Amino acid sequence: MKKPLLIAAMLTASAGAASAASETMTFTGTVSATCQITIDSGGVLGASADLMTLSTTEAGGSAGTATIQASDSSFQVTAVAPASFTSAPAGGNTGVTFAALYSASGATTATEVDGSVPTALEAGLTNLSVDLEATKSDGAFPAGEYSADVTITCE
Amino acid sequence: MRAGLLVRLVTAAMSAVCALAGDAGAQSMTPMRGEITSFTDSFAVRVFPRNPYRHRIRVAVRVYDEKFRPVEARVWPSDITLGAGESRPVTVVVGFGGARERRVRICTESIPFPNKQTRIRAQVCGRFLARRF
Repeated sequence: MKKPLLIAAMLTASAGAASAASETMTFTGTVSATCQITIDSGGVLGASADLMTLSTTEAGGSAGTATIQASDSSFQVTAVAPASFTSAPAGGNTGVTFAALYSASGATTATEVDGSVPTALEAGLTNLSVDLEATKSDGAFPAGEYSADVTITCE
Repeated sequence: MRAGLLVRLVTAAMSAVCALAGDAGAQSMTPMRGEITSFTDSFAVRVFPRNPYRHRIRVAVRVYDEKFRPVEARVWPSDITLGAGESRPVTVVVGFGGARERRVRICTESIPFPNKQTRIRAQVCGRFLARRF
């Protein structure tokens, strides 16, 4: 092989080794619009001194708490009070009216909103605190075990 | 004296009941929005309820209209148990009832286990619009 040709061949080979190939590897993913509710704790109803009100805000009571994860701001939340106790002693459900209030902190902020009024959720984690009050119009609540369900809806 | 005793009895009883409330269910669901075109008298939606907890939960899938009135629908399975982190497909078939379009809510609702009390019921609802072609 002639000397100029040999040099040219060597240059070509070295040039090929120097230009290392680079390609982009693409990763894709989809986050579906979704809302997730996690009940952190149920509430506790305390009795008023005259036994005509059972409420999470009375002495010994505490609000229920939940965490809501919203993937975007297209969702809203409500906390609807029940029409009656799911369990109560005899006469415990007579003449009773319920009211639920909720407050939100974190991604969404709201203070003591009527449970049936929807609040728009912001994307992210929202902490919800729910208060429930049962008022008896025809006298005192009889002694016994009471349980009532508040429905938190995210839609 | 007797009134004070009664207050303590009621408060203690309710505290005992509410201490069990931590077992209430929660869930998420996908998809939560959708538009469906159907060539028949009914339309079908497949939703995926998911259990975000580390313990199993029971959930039910229910269908409501725009005013949260129950809608007649075929849902299977309608009541399911989901293991920790598990998701399962649920198929919902709703009739148009003679209308050209129908808006429904498909909701995943928590079901307390037997012998458990719950104070907060979680309900995650998707909104769906179906049109008959």
